[in-house]
Amino acid sequence: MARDESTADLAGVLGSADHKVIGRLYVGAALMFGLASAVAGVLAGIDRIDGELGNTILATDTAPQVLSFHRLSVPLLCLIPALLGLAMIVVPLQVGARAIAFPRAAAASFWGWIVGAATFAAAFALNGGPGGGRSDAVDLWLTATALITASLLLGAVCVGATVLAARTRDMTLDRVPFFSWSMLCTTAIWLLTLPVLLAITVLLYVDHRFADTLFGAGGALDSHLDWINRAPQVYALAIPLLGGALDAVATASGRRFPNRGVAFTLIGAFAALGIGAFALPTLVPAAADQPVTKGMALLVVLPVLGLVGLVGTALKDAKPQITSGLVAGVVGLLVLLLATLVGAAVPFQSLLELQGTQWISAHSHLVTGAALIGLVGGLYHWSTKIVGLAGNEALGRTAPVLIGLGVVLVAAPEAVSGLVGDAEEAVNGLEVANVVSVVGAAVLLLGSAVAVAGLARRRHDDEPSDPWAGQTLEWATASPPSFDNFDGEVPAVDSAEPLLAVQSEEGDS
Amino acid sequence: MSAATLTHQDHEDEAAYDLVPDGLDPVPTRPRLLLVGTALAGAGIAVFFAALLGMYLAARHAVITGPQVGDVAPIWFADSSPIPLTPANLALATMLLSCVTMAWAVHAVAHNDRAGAYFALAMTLLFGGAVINATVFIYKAIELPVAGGSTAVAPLFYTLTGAHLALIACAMVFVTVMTLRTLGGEYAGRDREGIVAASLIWYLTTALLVVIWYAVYVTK
Repeated sequence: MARDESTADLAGVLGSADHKVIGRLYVGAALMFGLASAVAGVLAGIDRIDGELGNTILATDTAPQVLSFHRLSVPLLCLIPALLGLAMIVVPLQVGARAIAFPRAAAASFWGWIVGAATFAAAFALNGGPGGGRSDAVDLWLTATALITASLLLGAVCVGATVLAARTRDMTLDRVPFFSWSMLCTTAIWLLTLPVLLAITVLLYVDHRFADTLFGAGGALDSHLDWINRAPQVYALAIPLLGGALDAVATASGRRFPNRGVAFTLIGAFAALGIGAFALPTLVPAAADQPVTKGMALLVVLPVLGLVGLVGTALKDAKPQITSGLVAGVVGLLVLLLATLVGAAVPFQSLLELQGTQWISAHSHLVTGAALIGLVGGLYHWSTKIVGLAGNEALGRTAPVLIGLGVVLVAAPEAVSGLVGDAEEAVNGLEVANVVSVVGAAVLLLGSAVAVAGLARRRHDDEPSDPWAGQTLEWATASPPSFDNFDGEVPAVDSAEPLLAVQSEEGDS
Repeated sequence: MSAATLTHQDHEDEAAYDLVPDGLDPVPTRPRLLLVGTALAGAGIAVFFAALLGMYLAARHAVITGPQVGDVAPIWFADSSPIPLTPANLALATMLLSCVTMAWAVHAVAHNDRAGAYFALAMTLLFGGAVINATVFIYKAIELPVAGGSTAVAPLFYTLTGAHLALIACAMVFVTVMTLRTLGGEYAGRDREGIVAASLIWYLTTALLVVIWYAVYVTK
């Protein structure tokens, strides 16, 4: 078939089952929805400055809807799909696969998600959403949420199966790159928890549309879905950060990463401590009071601390390149460590009384902020594979710092409100603290804009295929990679860093 | 053969329009891709039903251990909606029987026994249809309206059992497609990954019915 550029481009995008195309679509669309979500969050934040929601720039019945949109869209419309898209691009390259497992299912995953996401947003606009006043629109929102969840699950199956069953010869599981390992852990956790979200959504739909007996007419439906933003489930968003950070650190150090087995174990432990589906209010009304929840909140600090230590060990005496990926990895890990420490205070309820306060929001913001930094780091580290061009390194190093600063500025005042405010202030925030939080949100948005700006430039002919002297298989591909990923045979894999030996041989010769 | 396990050939034209690189040299590096994917999907399905069942049992527990209304002890299924056990038993027995025919289909495919495979497949689908029929019969027999109830029994009952009906229908489609693709030559007789993957989902569907049968129909 002769290639017609005009149709090839359109058909190539809309009809493609190429994992790079699907991944780019996922990332691009998720970033757009992320912008909408961030704007909603800022609007709700400005409205809430005086400690009361819905009395300044937003109407009384609109403000909770805007806040609900922000809270639910961050994981479902932005972070999970963006991370899934990044994984769809990078994971098959890392494990030496010619394509992602079940390419058409991966494409169906994206198109199902995008339809669901658009419907989700439309339902909110039609006065749907958790507390919506229009019953049909609420049903539409529940349908969209179910479609989004099912689509993301389908994508997770594709990524997980790629790591498990589509690896190239001699790439045993202990040789897969850290990011692929972290995505395997992530997909496992999503497969163990997102079906619970799907189940409660289906049940909410049936009850809301036909009965109104289980959850009550006009009940606050988002309380049944909000567990995905709360500990321990929210940690599942940050698992890919760990793998991406370690890959970036290993690449920047130019050496083999020490203690790979320990790193794999710590990533797995962090993932296991992010299983939070049991905290569904319908199943366990007071999940936060359960010993297992408290134990998980305390234990989750340890793997992050261990990984920070491993990163320190890897960089010690290494004279690393200060790459955007390295900066994002380190900043992301530090923000995540802070998040786990904040989360570890929650179990001491009798002493601090933090449950139901702004402290919990601070914790969620820190974890999602860390996940966002990980996403930005991944986009820059693998930019030559994702968009076929190297990102602006100065902006790539600045963006994670700005996002990290922004998220701390958002979370710190919330934590202060939760800790020192009186009953109402602890829930709605101190006025001054709320102002600082809005400023932090603006800084976070600025950081995100800087990140996008660094990737939005014209492609040159001499874009490097491997700007970092990478160690793993994705760096043996062209930039952008060809349709079946590797031009010629996939390089032989005789260690976890197959390209490192090649570089050493080239250096010797 | 999955595209993920193939090697390189020049195919720029295909790259323009799609799709999946096929027609390349078949050198599988990792077999069992479909089986692994099916197992992962099966895990997700199991979690989905575990969640529904958990919510069902939690709601039922709250009702039957709750305060009694007047002189009437709290009950889950109202006396006006008695749940018949006989069709539920029949559905379970039929589903268990279908596992035998499903295993027969796998065995027949493994031995390139086309006639046996078609017959076993037809029997499996027939049994699946019979289970759907039995469940619909239960729906009609119990006369449990979705709306207007005083407890959450109706939405929970219909969601749980209805989701299982949908799973049976999907499993029937999956079994049919995989058997036909296997017999059509996509998988050789000894490489019966497709039909084994379909049987995995079928056995999972049966296992879920066993749990639902006990938790919903027997203990009521």
